[in-house]
Amino acid sequence: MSNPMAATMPTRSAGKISAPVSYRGIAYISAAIGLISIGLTWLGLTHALSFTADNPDLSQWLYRIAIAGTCLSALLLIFPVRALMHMRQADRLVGAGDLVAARVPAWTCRQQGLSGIGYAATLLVLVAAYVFLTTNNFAVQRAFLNPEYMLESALMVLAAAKLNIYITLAASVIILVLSLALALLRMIPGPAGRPIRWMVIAYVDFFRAIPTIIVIYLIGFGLPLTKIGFVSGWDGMWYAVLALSLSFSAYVTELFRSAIDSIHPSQIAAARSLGLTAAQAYAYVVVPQAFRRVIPPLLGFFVALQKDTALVLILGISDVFGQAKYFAANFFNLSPVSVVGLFFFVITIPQTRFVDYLIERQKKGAR
Amino acid sequence: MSEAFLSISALQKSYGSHQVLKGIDLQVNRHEVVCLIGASGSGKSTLLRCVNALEPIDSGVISLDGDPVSGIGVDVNRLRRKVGMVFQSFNLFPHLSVIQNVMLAPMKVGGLSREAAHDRALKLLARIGLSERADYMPDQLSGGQQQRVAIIRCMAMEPEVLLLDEVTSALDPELVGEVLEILKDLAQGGMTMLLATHEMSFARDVASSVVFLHQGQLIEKGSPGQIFEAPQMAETRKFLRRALSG
Repeated sequence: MSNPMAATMPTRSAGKISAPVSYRGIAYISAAIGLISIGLTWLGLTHALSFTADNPDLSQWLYRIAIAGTCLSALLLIFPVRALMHMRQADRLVGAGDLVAARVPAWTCRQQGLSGIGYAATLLVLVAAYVFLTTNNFAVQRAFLNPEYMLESALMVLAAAKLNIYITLAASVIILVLSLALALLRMIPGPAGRPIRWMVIAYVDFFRAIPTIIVIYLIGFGLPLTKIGFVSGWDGMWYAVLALSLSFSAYVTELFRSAIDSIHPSQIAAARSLGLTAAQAYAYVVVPQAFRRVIPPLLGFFVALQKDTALVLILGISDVFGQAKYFAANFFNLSPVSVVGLFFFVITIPQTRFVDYLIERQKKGAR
Repeated sequence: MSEAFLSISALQKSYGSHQVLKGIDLQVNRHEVVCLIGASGSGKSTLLRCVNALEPIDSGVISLDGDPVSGIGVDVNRLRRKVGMVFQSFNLFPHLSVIQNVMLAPMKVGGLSREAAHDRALKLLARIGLSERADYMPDQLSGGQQQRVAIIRCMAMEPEVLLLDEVTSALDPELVGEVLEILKDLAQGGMTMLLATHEMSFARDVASSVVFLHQGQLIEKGSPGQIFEAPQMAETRKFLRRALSG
């Protein structure tokens, strides 16, 4: 051997390298859990059949679902089988004296066994959800997801969602402008700025402390009662916009302020040393940088704002939720409200994914 | 004796109960390059920040061209147009491209048109050999390139004095040379400079005088020859022994 270290290193058969641990146990446990899961899946999926004796058509369909589902669940057994095959491979390598090489199939055995358990757990949760939907003669499905009621109400409910979108857009613009202005006022330096800073702090504390729904209620019902020309007699939607703007601006002001705070003071020092005034340093150096950092959490707040527009129904405005509630009361069934849930789900998920993407990209940019 | 261009007398500065500068007297004449040396925490950076009014001073007088520029009521923005400062950590504006970094102050403070500022920035970038990098973002440059841009960002305001706060300390050793080269260039061009540095050989080659600070006091001042070859004070000798062997 040309390697001088070889003499001091243990050779592969010297017995100083330990053989990999056997993970057969995990493979067996995985197999057992897989078998139990298959049984439970069959039981769970056929449970619904007990309510459909009078409906052979539906029974037929549910039976097919049960068979398909159970066949699918049988795939769980692939994991322990693969695990055992890898372990056998590991044993073969140990037998051949290659202890180091044996570690790879042994480790794979463990991973495969654990994967089987993970997929089994997920499958059981899905089966449980199916049982919950169908049990008691499909009570849950009938109450929440009745396709007939959903279809019948969907058009008018979704038409009413226009109002939620208007409220969101109008409030977003007001929140952006108001919050940035407040955050900057909050940072006015010197003793002259002190009372102004206090005022902003009081505003932020006040509206963060009060639940949004209370703000909407007080403004929506209170301002019209004042009979002051300037603030009464508005369309109901505008009271909702005002209330949501006041409430959300408190949060977003804090967001802007912390972003401005997070810009390192050396940036201000550099700008000031070049002769920029404090106001110029903020305008050209600090705020543009802060704004970039603030975009992902800001979009997060706007997603929350969209969802909170559903609160305006307490003003008796026929928004998406108000309209759905009207249908729900007529049908004595909640399926129209599920349509609202679906509506928010569909418009919100892409946005939150987009926010995640932006955060991810920002992390990469920071490196 | 005529007044020096930049004159600091009896300057005192404390952070809370910790006194950082304990009465500093220092004169810098036009076209002089004065190097501040001393251990970390000796007050070099604080002294530079006080001269640029980034830190308020407790007592003493700083005057520039005979005009007191320290204390309450001074127009700091006017002072800073005459005094440029370069920082250890470059402090380029990360959201602006290289050329926008250089153009910002001439446009917003100097009142130059966009075209004039652009021309001036391009000329300066050419001087440091970074013309092709004009549209890069700062984080796409090496540390040495960033610091060179920071220096010409200062020069774009045509300051009369340049303050440099350990401008090579944050750089990888192989990038130090390119930054010192530019400083030598500026010194030969007659720029007045006051700089804190750990680069003893640079101080020896370029400085008109070297000042040793120790625990907030000015211990010794002299020509590089005097300070490096025949230091008079025990603290100076002790510091130099360590600095030159390390």
